[in-house]
Amino acid sequence: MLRPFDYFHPNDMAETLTLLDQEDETSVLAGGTDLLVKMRRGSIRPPVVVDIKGLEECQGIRWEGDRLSLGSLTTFNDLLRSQEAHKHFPLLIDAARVMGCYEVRERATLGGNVVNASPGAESGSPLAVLEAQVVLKGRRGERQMSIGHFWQGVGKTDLAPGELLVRIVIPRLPEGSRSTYLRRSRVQGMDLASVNVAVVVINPRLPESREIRVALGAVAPTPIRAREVETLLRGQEITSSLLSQMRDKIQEGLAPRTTSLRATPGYKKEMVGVLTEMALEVLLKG
Amino acid sequence: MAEKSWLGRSIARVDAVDKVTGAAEYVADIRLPNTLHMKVVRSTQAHAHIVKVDTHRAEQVHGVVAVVTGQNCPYLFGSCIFDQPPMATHKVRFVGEPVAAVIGRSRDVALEAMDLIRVKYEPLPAVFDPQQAIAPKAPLLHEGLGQYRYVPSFHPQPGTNIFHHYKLRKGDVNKGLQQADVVVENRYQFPHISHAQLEPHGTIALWERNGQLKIWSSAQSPFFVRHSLAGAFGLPHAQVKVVVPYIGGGFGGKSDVTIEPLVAYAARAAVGYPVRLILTREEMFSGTVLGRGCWARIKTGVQKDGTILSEEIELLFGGGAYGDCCINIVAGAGHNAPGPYEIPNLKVDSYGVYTNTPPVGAYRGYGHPEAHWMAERQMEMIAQKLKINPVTLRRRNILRPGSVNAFGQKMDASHGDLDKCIQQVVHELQKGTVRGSSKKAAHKVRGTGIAAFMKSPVMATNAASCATVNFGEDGTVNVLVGCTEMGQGSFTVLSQIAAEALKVPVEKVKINRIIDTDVNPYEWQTVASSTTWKVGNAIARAVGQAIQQIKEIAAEAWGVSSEEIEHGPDRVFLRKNPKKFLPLSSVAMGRVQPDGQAIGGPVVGYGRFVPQGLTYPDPETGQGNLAAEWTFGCQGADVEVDLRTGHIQVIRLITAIDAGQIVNPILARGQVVGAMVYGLGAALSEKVIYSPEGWIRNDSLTDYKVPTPGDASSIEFKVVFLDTPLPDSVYGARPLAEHGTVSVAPAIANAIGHATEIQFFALPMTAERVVEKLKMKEDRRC
Repeated sequence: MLRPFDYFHPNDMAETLTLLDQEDETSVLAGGTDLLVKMRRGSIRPPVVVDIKGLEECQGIRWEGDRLSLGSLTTFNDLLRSQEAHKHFPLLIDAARVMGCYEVRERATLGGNVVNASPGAESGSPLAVLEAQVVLKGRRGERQMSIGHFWQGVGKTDLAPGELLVRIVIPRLPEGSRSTYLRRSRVQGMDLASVNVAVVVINPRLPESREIRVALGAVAPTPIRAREVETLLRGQEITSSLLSQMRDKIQEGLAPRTTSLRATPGYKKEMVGVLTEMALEVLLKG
Repeated sequence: MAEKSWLGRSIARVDAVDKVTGAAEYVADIRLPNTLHMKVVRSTQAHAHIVKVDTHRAEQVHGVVAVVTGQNCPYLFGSCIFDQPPMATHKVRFVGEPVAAVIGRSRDVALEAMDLIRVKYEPLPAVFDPQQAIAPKAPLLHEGLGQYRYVPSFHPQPGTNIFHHYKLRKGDVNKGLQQADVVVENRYQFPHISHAQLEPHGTIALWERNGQLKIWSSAQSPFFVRHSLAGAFGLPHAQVKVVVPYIGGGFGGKSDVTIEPLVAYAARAAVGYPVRLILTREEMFSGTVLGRGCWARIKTGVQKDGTILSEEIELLFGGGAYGDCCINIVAGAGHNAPGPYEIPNLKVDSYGVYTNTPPVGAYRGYGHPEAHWMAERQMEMIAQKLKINPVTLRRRNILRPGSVNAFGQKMDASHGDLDKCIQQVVHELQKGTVRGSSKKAAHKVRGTGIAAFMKSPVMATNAASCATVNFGEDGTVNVLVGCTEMGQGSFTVLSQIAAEALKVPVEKVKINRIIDTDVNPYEWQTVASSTTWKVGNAIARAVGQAIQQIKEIAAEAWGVSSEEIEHGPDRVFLRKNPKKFLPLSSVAMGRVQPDGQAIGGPVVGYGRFVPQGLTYPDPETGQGNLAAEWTFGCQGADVEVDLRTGHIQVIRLITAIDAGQIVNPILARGQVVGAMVYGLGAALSEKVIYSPEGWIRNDSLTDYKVPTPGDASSIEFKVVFLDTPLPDSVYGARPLAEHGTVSVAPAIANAIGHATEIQFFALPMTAERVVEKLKMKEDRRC
C-alpha cells in the first residue's frame, strides 16, 4: 500500500534538476511500473516523488549523426512503433515484444528499465551488446558514459544524487548486421526473463571478417558481455565443435546467485550457451 | 405449441451484462455509511511465543478507532476440529498469521498505525515438512490438541502434530503383496499451491448495537459462515446475517471460513460501525488458505498380466498451522487414493499433519488431484515395469459395473462408463500424433500419455440444498437459492433447470443475484461441483410443489379435481380438453373469478434435496457409504519436449468425462477447460516457495506463476462428454467442473515419460527440471 508522499510534476529540466538537487530521498517517476511496485511493497518509501513525464528533452527517438538517440521516456510500445528500431536494432524489438504485457509496455520506459538496473532487465543485454551510452544531466552539467560502466550492481548505477538519465544513445551497426534477443521464462505469457542473451553479428556472410557480440542477462549482478566467447567466435567457421566449445566457455566464471526464484544457477549457465547457439542458428542462416 | 427444452442449450450467461459492463457488485464495491478500515499486522515468525504486542504508539495516531490483539481471545473456530483462533493468542504458528489489527477512519490511517505496532517474539523451532513434523521429537504446534473439540468421525492424535488419521482397510494387504509377481514402490509429491483468484478476499463486519452481527463477504458458503460465527461467538443463528454478492473466483479458497472470523472478532472493538478488510494480493497467499501439500508413498503388488492385487498407501498432508479446513481433504484423498481401480487388498493411511505454514484448505478437486497424481503415475510405472501398454493395464483394473470400490460401494452401470472415457481419449490422441523426434527439429521429441480419474463429492452426510419459487403478477418467476455465483455459471444453469421444470421461457426466470442468509433458503456449501445436481434437484422439487398449488387453484376455479389438470408450456390445462387452459400468469398469484371472487393466493413452492444414505466411515476400516455419486473420466496429453531448453509444450489436452445430461454446453466446456488450465498450472509452473524461515518467497503473481492466456492459447483443448444420467439428479446432470483438473498433471507427466523416458515424481515439472533429468540420464549412460 502506498504511504503518503509529496508529488511534483515539473515541466522543464531546470526545475526538475533543482528539485532533484534540493530534496533528499527523491524518487523519479517515469512509467512507474517498477517504482510504484516498490513503494506499494514498502521496500522504498520516498517522501518526494518527481514525475518527469512532462520533460520534452527526455522524449523522442532520433538520429544524432550515426547514433540513434532514445529519450529516457521512450516506452516499450514507442520502441515497438519505431521504424528505426525495427530496421536497425531488431533485438530491441525482440526484447520489447516480451517485456511485461501491453499495458506495462505502454507505461514502462527504457530509461526506467536502465536505471532500475535489474540484471535480467529485458533491455539490459540488448543495450550492453549494442554498446549503448547513457546521457546523464545534473545541475552541474551533462556527462556521458558507456552503459556497461553505468550499471554497477543489482539495482546500483553510477547515477549521482540530483542526476537524471535523459537519453540513451546507440551507435549505428555496420550495414548488413543482424541481431536478436532470446530468453527463457517460466510461463509463455507475461513473465520476467529467467535468463537472456542478446547477440549481434557484424558481417554475417563473411566468416573471416565476421564479428559476433554476445551479452548475457540474469547471470551476474549486471548484464554482461561474453568477451571470451566473442574472441572464440571471431572470424571462425561455426562448426558443431566450435559451438560445443562456446557452450563450455560461456559458462566459465559465471556464478549466478543461488536464491533466484526464476531459475537455478545450473539452468542459467546451461541456457546462456543454448540460447546463444539458437541465436546464431537464426542469425547465420542464409 | 411444441415444448422446447432448455437443456443442452448454450444460452448466454444471465450475469453476462452485469459482468461485462462492470455493474456486477463484489464485496469491495459495497460502500456502507461510516465504514471503518482495517489492516492486519501479521506474524513475521513461523513459530514463536508472543511476548508482547506494543500497540501504544498505534493507538495515538489520529483517526485510529481501535487496535485489537489476540491476547485473551477466547474463541476457537472450526467445524470438524475447533483449533483456530481468529487472531494469534499466546503464540504464532505461521508467517502471516494475524497478530493485531488496526481499525481506522481511513485506510491510510490504518496503514500508518499498523507500522507503529511492535511485536516481541520468542522464537520456537519450526517445522515445514510433514515428514519431519511426524518425527518423534518434532516441535509441537498444538500442545492443546487433546483439549480441542472435534467431531467423532475424526481422529486427532494428542501429543503429536497429527490432527487426523484416516485409515482404510480392505482385504489382506500383506498377503496380496506376497502373492504378487511384481511389487512397485514409489514416492510422490504435490507441493503447496495457491488459488490465485482474481478477486481478493474481502469481508465487512458490522456489530449492531442491538447485538446482531452482519457480515458481507466473498464467501462461497454464506450459511457455513453464519453457522461458524454464531457457534464461536455464542450467538443465535438468527442474530447473524451473512450477505454474499458476486464472487470473483473461489476454487475452494473462499469456502469454509477464511477471513470472516478475523474481521468479525476485530469489529467487536467498533460496535455500530462497518469494519472492512480487503486483502492485498500478498495476503491472499499467506492470510487465507493454500492448497495441496501432499507427500505420498505407494506400494503396489501386481500379477504379470497386470492385475493389481494389493496396494499400500501412505499420504502425508502438510496441512499448515490449523487443521479444520484440511481435515476432510485428508479423508477425501484417503478414500480416493487408489484412483478409479478395483483393488481387492488395500491399506491406506492418510495423515493430516500440522506444519508451520499457512493452513491448507479446499482447492479445486479436493484431495483428488493429489491422489491421482500418485495413483496415475504409479500405473505408468507399473506398466513400464511389466512392459504392458499403460492403456491395457488401466482397462484391466478399472472400476466397472459389479466392481467394489475402495470403501466398499458396489458399482453399477448408472455410475458412468470409465472404459468408454479411456477409449475416447485414446481415440483422440491417435489422431495424428507421432511419437519421437519432430521432423522440423531434431532436438524436439513428442509423446502422449493418459490418466484416468474418478471424483465424488466430499461432503457432510446431510449436505442440504434448498430452493423456493414464487411468481410475479405477470407469471415471471423468482427463484431463490442459497448457493453462490463465483463465475462457475450456476445461476445460468439453474435458470435453465427452473425454466425446464416450469415449462416457461428462460427469460421469465430470475435467480437471486445476492445471497442473504436472512432471506435465501439454506444451502450447505457451494463446493464439490455439486450445485447443478443438488440445487437443480431442489429447484425441480420447488417447481413441483408450485405446480401442484397452481393445479389446485385451477381445479377449484373449474370445479374439477386437481388430478384432472396437466401442466404444459406456460399453462395448466384440462387433460380431457387441452383447449381449456389457464396461463400460469393467471393462476400463479391466485385466481380471480369472473365475479371477482378470489381463489387461492400467491403460489410459493419450496424444495429441498439431501443426498440419501451417506454414512461416516468405519473408524477402523474406513469403509462406508462415503460417496453420494461419481463422475468418471479420462484425460490425455500430447506434448513436445525441447531437449535443449527443457521446454514442455503441451500441444493438446483432452478430457473425456461421463457427465450425464449437459445443461449448458458452452458453460460445461468452459468449466472443464478452465479446470484443465488450473491443472496445467499445477503441472508445469505453480508452487509456493518457502524461505528457510518459513516466509512465502513468491507471494505475488510476479513469481507465483499461473498459466496465462499466452500458455493456454497455444494448446488445443478437447472435451468429450459422455451421457450416462445420474439417477438422483433431476435431468440426469452429473457434477463435472473441477473434475477437469484432477488428472492433468499425471497425463502430462506420462506423456513426458513417453517422449523422453524421464520420469517425474514431484510437481511442478519445469523446464529446468527436464534439463536436470536429461543430464542425469546422460550421465548414467556414460
